[in-house]
Amino acid sequence: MTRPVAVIGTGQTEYVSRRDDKNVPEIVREAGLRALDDAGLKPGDVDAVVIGSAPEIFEGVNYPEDWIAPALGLCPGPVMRVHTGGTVGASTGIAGFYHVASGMFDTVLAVAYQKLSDGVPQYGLSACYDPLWDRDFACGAPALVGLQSRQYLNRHAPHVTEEHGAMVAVKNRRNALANPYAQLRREITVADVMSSPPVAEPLKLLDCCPTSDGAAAMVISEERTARKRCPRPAWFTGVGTCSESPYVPHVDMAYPESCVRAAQQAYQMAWIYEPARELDVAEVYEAFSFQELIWCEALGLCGPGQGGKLIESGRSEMDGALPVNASGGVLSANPIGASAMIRQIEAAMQVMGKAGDHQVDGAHRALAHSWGGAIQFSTVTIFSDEI
Amino acid sequence: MIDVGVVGWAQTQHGTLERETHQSLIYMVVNEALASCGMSIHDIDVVIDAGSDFLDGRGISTCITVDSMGAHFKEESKIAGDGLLAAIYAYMRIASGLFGTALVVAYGKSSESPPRAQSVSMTDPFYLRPLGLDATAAAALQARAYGHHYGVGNEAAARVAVKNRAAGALNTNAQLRTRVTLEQVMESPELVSPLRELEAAPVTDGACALVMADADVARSLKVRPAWITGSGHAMDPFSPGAREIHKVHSAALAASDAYRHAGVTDPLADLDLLEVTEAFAHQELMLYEAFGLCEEGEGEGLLASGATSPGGRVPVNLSGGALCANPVVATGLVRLAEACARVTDRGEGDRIDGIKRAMAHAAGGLAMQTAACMIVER
Amino acid sequence: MTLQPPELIYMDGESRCDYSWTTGEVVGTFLAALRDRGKILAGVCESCGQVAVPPTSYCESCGAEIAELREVGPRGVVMSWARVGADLEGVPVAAPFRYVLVRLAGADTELLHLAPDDDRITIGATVSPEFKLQAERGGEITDIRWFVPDGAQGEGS
Repeated sequence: MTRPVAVIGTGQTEYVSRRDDKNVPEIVREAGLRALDDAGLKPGDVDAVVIGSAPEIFEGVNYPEDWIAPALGLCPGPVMRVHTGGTVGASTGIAGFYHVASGMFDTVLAVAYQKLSDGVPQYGLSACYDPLWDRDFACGAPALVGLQSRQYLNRHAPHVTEEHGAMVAVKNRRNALANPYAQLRREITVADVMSSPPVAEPLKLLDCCPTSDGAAAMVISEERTARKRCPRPAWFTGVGTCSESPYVPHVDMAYPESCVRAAQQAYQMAWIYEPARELDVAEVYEAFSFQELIWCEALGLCGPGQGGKLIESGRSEMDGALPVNASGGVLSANPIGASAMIRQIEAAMQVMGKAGDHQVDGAHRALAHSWGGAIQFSTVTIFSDEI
Repeated sequence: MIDVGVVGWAQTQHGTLERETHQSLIYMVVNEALASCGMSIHDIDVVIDAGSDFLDGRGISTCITVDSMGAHFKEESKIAGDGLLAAIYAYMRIASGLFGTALVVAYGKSSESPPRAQSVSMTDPFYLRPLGLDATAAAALQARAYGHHYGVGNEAAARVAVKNRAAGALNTNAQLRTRVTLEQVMESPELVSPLRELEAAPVTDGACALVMADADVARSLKVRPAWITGSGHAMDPFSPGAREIHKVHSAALAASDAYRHAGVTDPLADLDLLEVTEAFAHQELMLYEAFGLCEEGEGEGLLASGATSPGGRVPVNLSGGALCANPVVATGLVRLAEACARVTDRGEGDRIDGIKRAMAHAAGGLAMQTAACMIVER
Repeated sequence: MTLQPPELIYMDGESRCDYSWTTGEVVGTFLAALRDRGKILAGVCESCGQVAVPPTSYCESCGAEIAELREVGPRGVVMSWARVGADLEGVPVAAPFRYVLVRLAGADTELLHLAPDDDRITIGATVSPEFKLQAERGGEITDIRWFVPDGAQGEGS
């Protein structure tokens, strides 16, 4: 009943802590043109643009799409901006999916970006807290995820330990070596992580993602164009998003209900009954190391409390049965507004066979996950190489 | 287009709402919108909302509005533009076949922060921000360019204000509910010349919510839906100097897509009502032209003919428009709610016969750089 | 249940952040030319040929790359103006003053800038940029203090 929709081209900028050479619209243009080029299209071939980024305070321009979208070469034309916090990159891809699935447009360029170096990232993150209740205490994202990680570790002790978080960081930083776009491309050891300076207990510096400048883009189209333009399109076969109430006591940060529900929605749509077995590769939004284990559990990629076993077993390594974050993940690059779309792009690239040095062999079905807000927004996108 | 109907809607009584928070406004309109079509929040498959971080003084406004809009444990996504864009996205969600119902919510409390801040922050850091340009100054440059290009004097815009304020006086939801005379408008304090205070929208707090449903659900309800038959949205270049600022190209493009979907070929004949976002009175004249209601530069004549007044061929802004209430972010969605009320005869105001097809419009950016349109019909 | 607090309670706060915006090459070159040479540069589109000022590295009208930067003006024609009567925060000049859209000689788009509140600023009037003294310039669009009408150069600010 729903029109088949696919990703037929992707583009990314190399993620770095500061792009000194280009301003915000230019970085977005760079990714957009690369995606168009990858799809064999020109700007004029696209019917609409969806653009996404996280809080405007990061770059300090309100309604930034008005300033930025003309750089994509589609003006005058339909442009819409999505803003859903940390999940925005994926919400943008998902909005692009609905632009096409609705029948309203045939080919859409979805772009997500962030230029954190223009502003003060932790200030922007602190502004996410409610001024009436939390903001006076806020200290950015690590505080919240520190709470989340501590809750997770306490709940499952002794089966999950801080060392398991360190092992995630080691895995992803090693994977990043094979991703030319990743910002951090230097191997680390468990000892490095465990001895790195504390940030927000139990998070240590090397458990945390960097801040990055960057943009990512996808060309999304309907079936006829996809089959004509792309040898192996990445079909959207499952899409789920879920939001929940923010107040920390309501949220089970260690096993977020919104993540479980978003996954259920996506799996149902994709006819996936046993995700751990039926998925070939996964990209999850692990801004902090323990989160990878938390998300894998909530997504059903392993059982609850089994995150420690998962990372120990090697199953989520590049040569394992279900590689997680072959790209190096958010721990290796975090242009916040783009990060969730990067997960989708990396998942799409896997089923398109375009992941280069970090291609997982035989990747037919890939999952991309993201989270945002006060651990209250979740998205799950499933790509397959056939419909 | 797939059959999708707007089945319920509600808006706040707009004004300086000192006793309300964002959450209380949202909660109120969502409940009223659901009640207006006999649905419950549990019947809603997806929530698409619109809000502005800057306006709220937040990063990620949805962090704290998600529960008041009933989106707890639901599919939810926020559009960072006007609520009418959120309505277009909600339509896409249903048209995809994956959702049967959608709730659209938009809100803004402009009274909580310095009014200029919202628009000054829209400027680019390099060329416009250092000049302190705001929405009023940009609109003023546009007004003068328009007036000069087509030989339209200042009085024409003032007459728009008179018309819309008279309409707003009949709208129980409007913030400004007193009529004004031409003299009062033309003698009101100058804002940024040639714009005068009574030609500019007020500073408003308000919210609006709509419920949309696919044809099966819509037809099963006991209320008459307003069927969505066309939509369009468009963006023009950012730099004010890179656009033909005496025209509203974005609105013309958005409308042409909506017209194409809805089979509108002669807007003056085919539309029975327009609800447009005229944050500044002269903009309504420009929009008449952009929407093809008259030739370029003939907006003044169309207004003078009475065609766009109540009882005219195609009334514009029977609600009083943005000039009577401008809950930034929600303004365009309010236009849609007003259009829906009229085409279904479900409004509270005096019934006007013969309104079967209406178009709602939202403007965004400086000097109407962006536009969104939606056509609804009985 | 309706709660009636004895008085309205407001919480005051501020949301502001410091920025250091990367300009990129084209904007950077334009600003440097203002600062170092007192020249105004426009971008020439490699595809449609539009000469745009102030320049961006992409053509806003057709989306192609900018092929080169070219000097325009310094004089131009006022295409629109708007008078501000009361001081506005964030504006570097005191009221009364005007905003102007100026079509500089050789350009296809208009530059938005400031002007004194002078009745010679009318649509169609010729204006020239009044630059700040070199020592006062910082590589900003406001290195041009404003645009003054013909005959007004040197009358002071």
